[in-house]
Amino acid sequence: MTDHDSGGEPYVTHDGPEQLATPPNQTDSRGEGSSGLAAPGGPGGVEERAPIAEEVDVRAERRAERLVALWFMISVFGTLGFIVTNFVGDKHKQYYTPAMGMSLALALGGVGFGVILWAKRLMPHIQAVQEREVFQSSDAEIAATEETVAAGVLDAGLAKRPLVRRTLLGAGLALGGVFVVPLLNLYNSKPGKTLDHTQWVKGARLVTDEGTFVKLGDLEIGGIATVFPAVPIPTATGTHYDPQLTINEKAQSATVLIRLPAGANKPRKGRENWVVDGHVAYSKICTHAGCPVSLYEQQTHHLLCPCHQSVFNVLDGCRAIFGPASRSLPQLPIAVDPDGYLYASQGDYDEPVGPAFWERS
Amino acid sequence: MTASVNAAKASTRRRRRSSFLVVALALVTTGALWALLAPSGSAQDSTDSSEAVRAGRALYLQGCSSCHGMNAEGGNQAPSLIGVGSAAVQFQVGTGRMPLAAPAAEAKRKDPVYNQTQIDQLGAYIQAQGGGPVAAKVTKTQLDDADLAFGGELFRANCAQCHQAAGQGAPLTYGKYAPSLTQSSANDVLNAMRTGPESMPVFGSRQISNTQSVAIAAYVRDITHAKSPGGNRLGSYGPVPEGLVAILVGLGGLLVAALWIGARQKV
Repeated sequence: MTDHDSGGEPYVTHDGPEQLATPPNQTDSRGEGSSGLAAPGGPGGVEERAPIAEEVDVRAERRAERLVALWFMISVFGTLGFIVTNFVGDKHKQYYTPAMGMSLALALGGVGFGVILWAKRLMPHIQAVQEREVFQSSDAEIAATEETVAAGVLDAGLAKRPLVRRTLLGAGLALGGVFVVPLLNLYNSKPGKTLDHTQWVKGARLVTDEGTFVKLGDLEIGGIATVFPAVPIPTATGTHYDPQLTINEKAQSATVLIRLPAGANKPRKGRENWVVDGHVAYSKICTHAGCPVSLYEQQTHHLLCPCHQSVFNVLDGCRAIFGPASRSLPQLPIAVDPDGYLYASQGDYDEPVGPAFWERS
Repeated sequence: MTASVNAAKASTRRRRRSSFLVVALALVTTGALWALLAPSGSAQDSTDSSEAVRAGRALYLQGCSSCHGMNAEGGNQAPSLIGVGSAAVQFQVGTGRMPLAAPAAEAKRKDPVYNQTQIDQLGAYIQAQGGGPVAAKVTKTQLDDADLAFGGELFRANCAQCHQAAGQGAPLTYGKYAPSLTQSSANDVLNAMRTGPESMPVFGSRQISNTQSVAIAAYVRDITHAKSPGGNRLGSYGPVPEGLVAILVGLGGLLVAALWIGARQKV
């Protein structure tokens, strides 16, 4: 620690201000005093700048003044627009949020741009040099510290106790090696394909948390139920449906089944036969942060996520219409079997459920 | 009438007259049997219920028809009431939500305008317009006997997402909200489940059985009326407001005490 940071420059030995190649008393001086500065390019020298147009040209100054005033006026109009939008926004809901945002941007941005231009174009441009004290400790302090450290090393006897020294070194190395473990985990813990699929398979029956297989007609119009897959297992006596899932499998496969009034659903192209008699099934996991989306408003057919207020329109393929979620909830194709039970007609969701992740294709 | 016809036919053909006699006899016998047997079982009920329906219709025409239509068929401002059943009437009128004070995002609970007899009459009238869920009448014994733990599971699975884990209610979209359940009776809970008032989904008896729904109602009664051994519930909103109060009141109090001690210290 005896070397100086500034490289080849000899460090200063006194406690006073460092002697830069700047004459004293130049602090906060106007540009006119620049004759006293060192030659341009020299150590600590300040290049003299050319005056800007506004300093020499009165017309340019006027122009700049008007520009600044224009930005301030824009801010005033933005503020007025913000207030007006606040009161008339109810009548034009589709423009409400963008209009609020844009007028507020103009109101704040106008002041901001105006102030920046004011400072850059109109305020006096001053070249100033601020003197600073030397950052280094005094030689006496440095010597005293060196002495203390050397005495400490001597007292610890590291040099004459190789056993202690080497084992300490070993302990330090082992401890440092611990930091490699999380780095290895970074490599090992890739989710692979586990996030791409849920437990839904073709023919899996829709089963409630209580273990009841959902039949057509169990839900009233305007009803909602949370369902999980009951995987079909062929046995000698016929197909057996297994509703047993681990807690993680359940969390991944949770699906909301909603019965809409007849004719209300507007299926997307190619999804016309994913629906049975107004029954639609969507992933219950929010595409924003993975919360369970199950606040169903049966009059507006909005599904609301309780965590960050994302809203999905059930009638329009559960499109995200408000809030931080941007992707629609994935839809599960369902059909009804001859016994009246609802089942997944085409297998799993056609896209990964829940929030985005790095490997999501 | 039959006699005069028979007399006219008697002068023409004997065979024809006999066939007419058989038909007439059959008609008279059937009519007599029907008159004797058919209404005998429910004579008392039918007069009662028809009276209630009539009284309910009078109340309906006076208080509800301006929005819901002269025959409960609905209008521009209000939905049709055909098929909503007496459960919907009991819920909407019994909790004071209807008649509506002023149009808003959601009808607020307030003191009911009608007494229970009138609500029953209105319910009978609406029930007669296409049926629907019948108003629940759950007894205290049924609630006491219900499986509270199971009711809690069902509540958390089906109700808590909107009504909050402790039934305190929570907001929905555009000013709508799931109301607090603290004032809701067990019958209110059951009627709401079966009819799906306003934004609430419908939970029919094939999805949640009567036993299960009573268990849910018992659980709601339990969480909204249970004594709180830990002092003030602070709205049962959980650890966040509790922590806030602990910090503001607890630490603030300590701070005030410390300042007070410091101010009294003689230097």
